[in-house]
Formats: sequence, structure tokens, C-alpha cells
Amino acid sequence: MSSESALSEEKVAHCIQLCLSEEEVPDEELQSLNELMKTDSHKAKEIAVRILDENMIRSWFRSEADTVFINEVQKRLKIRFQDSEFISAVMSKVHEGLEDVASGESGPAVAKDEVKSVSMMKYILVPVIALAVYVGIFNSDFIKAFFANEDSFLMTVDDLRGKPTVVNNDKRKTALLKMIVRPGDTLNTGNGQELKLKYPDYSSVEVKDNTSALIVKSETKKEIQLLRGSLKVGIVKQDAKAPMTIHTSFAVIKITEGMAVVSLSDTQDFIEVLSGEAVIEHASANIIKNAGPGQKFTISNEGIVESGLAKIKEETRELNNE
Amino acid sequence: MIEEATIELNEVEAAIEAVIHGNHEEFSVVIQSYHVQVRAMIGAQIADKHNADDIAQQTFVFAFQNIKDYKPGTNFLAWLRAIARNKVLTHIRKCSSSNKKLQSIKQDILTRSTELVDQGEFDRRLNALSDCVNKLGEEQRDFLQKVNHRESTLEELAESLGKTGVAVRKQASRLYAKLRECIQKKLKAEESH
Repeated sequence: MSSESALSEEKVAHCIQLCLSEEEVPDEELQSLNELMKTDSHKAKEIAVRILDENMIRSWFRSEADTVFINEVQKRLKIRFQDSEFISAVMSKVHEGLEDVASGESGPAVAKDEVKSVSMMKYILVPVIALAVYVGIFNSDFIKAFFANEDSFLMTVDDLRGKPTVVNNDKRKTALLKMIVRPGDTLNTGNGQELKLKYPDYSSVEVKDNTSALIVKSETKKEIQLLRGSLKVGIVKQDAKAPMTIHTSFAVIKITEGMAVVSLSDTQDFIEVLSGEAVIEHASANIIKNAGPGQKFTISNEGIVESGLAKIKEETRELNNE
Repeated sequence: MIEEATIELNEVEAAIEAVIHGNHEEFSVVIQSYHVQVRAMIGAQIADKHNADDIAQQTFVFAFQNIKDYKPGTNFLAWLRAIARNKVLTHIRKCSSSNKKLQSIKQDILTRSTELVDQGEFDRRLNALSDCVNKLGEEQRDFLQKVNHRESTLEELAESLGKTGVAVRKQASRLYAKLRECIQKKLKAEESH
């Protein structure tokens, strides 16, 4: 094959790819393809098949690594599920209104020609009504229950090291970037492996190495059972009635907002609050402790003890024994 | 073998039955099982990945809304592909007519390029690709997933792998060529049978 024809083939291939991308195609490349189609349609087909195959392969692997897609379809389906123009209209007004209130301005969200036909009063009232609808309707338990679904508790793999695994219904999968982790899944990391997950509200869970954690099936809150190892969580503000909840061997840890590290050993659990606040409830004894930034607690059969104090108590016990 | 390794065909059929009988949540099993095949098919013909994904989403939404038209026990993937095929053609027509700058020759090429491979042949290529992907090693598959991942650039990937961008590109090209060759071989073997 001469270098000239190779060059022409490349032009043809590039031209087909641009056409499939709906992009502008340089005249020269269009002509090359047009000529080839007239003079050697077999060759043109061969090149087109190569491009289609390449696109198919790339698209295959992009899809394999990307389960965000499923979420997107579900989102579309949910709008259809509601199947009510009224609810859709209310939802869109709510979002418009909230966006306007949040940005402190109501102008840019509305097209200029729409402004002409809408009175200023209406313009002010829409966000106010929307906010009232949001506060009034969406805070009712009935509506919350209606809209509640596990989607809000789905997590996406945001980062990973090594090959952590996700187990669901006894089926083990290697975690992949952007893979969706659902309530009911168990996350496992081995030596040197880590997994970082993100909730839709950007709360995060870092599964440190040699850890096993079960995402509890819950329809009301983010809930994890730590089976072994260590987790670091970063929780954006949650509803006070539905804090992020971590179950350990000896405690139930509730975090409404903030960052904390929770780890397990054979005989004790540990929690360090890095920011925000956590409530630690002992699983068997009737003890509840509030933990603030910088505080570390050790939880065991004996109770919940602040780590510094635990050391002092241990030293005192040793002194008494002596 | 077309189905994702982790989801059995009968599990998908059970999910479809459940959706038909009103258990809408089960549709996620269907999407999980078939989205790679459907997206690969659409992505081959619509190179803009955002448009391709949009059409794939439309395909699944349409399938969900019309699921009662599907006869359980027949080939659901073939049914999905038929929907996707129509969506792609509609997109190409819409796209061509909405773009006034699009010269007639380009419209012609666009239509001809997608028709160059008739659909039966395309389905065979997709089946062959599915088999070839399963023959790849886990590392190679993982590598190609990373290369094509929507949120990371090739340079970032190269850095994380301790390689140069050129080396990553070359490795990816070699694997694409290997897969294309595998597809060809499978198709030839099929023809000779």
C-alpha cells in the first residue's frame, strides 16, 4: 500500500468518525470519502466497519466501567413512574424556586421573553410558594414514605486501591470505579486494598484495608454494619431523625454531620471524631455518650470510655493492684 | 455468550416477568444485564458519547413503557436492539434535519456509513465482541475499562500506572487491534460452519 493511499484511508476513516460524531468535516476529507465510495465501495465499507468496530469496543468498555448509567435511566423512569403532570410541575417549580432562593436572584433562571409575560408578583410568589410546598408537603411523613426508596442510599465507588470486592446474594464482584453499591451489599478489602464510596449527597465512606462492612438495608437512613477493620466517614448534614448509623460489635454510632474514624479490634471498638459530632450508644449497657471534634472513645463490654481517660483508669488500676 | 456473567438469563427473564406484573424496581436487573451490549451497539454508530448514552437511556425507558409488548421467553436483547436501532435512525434523521449547515453529501455519508453494515451483521459482530471480551485477561479488561472511563483522562491514567501517555495509548491500540482481529476470526469461523 502506497503512503499516499494510506494517507487517503486515514482521511476517510477520520471523515467517517467525524460524521458519526456529528462534527464538522473538512471539505478535503469529505471529498476523499466521496471519491472512495464511488471508486472502491468495498474499501470504503472496510474502513467504515473498522471505525464501527473501534467505536463498539470503546463504548463496550466505557459501559462496563460505568454503572452510573443505570441510575440515570432509573431517574428518567421515576419521573414517568410519578406519571402525574401535577407532581412533575410542582417538582420543577420547587427546584426552580429553591435554585432562585439559593442564588439570591430570580432573574437569570427565566428567559427574557418569559419575563415579559410574567408579572413581578408572580415572579416573587413562585419561589415562596415552592418553598412552602417543599416545607409543607415534603416534610410530611406520608410523602416522605411515598418518595422514599433505596436510591438515596445507593453509593458509587469513587476511588479504589487494589481489588476490593463487593458481595451481594453470595455473588462476589470485583469493585470497579463508578460501580453502584446497594443496601444489602458487603464490602471487603484485603491487605493494602481500599475503597472510597460516595452517596448521592456527597457523604463519603472510606473502607480501609482488611475491612468488611455490610450496607444495611434501610429505607430511612444511611446505615452500615462494620464487621471488621476500619471505616472513615464524611457525612454532610443529615436529617436529625435519620443520622448516618454505624453498627459495631459494642455500639451504635450516629453521625448527623462531620467526619469520624471507626475501627474494630477483637475486644474493643474505637471511634475518633475528626469534626462534627457523634452520638455513641452502647449496644447492651444503657450508656450514651456525645463525642465532639478531637475526642476518641474506646467501647468494650465494660462500657464507653474516652481514650485519654481509659489510659488514666488503666494506670490507676495498675497502681491500686500494686 | 451475551449475558453478563453475574446475572443468569433465567434471572433476567424472572425480572422481566416481575416488571410486567407491576414490580417496577426489577427493571434495574434488566438494565444491569443488557446496558453494555445496547450501549456498545449505539456507541458504534453515534460516536458522541453523551448522545449515545442519551439514546441508550431512551431505549430502556421505551422498553420499560412498552414491556407488555414483549413476549416472555423470546429474545429480550434482540427486542432491545430493535428499539435501539430505531432510536439511532431517528436521531440521525433529526440531527441531519436540524443542522442546516450539514451539507447534503455529509447527510448521505452519515446515513450510508450506518447502513454499510447491515443490522444482522452488526448483531453478529456484537456477539463476537462479547465472546472476545470474555477471553481477555482480567488485567487487560480492567485496563481498557480505565482507558475508556468517562471521568479520567488518559494522562491521569498513565500517571497512576507509572507509564507515559504514549505507552498507554499504544497498549490500548494493541488491545483494540487484538479484539478486532478476534471479531474477524469468529465471524470467519461462523461463516465456514
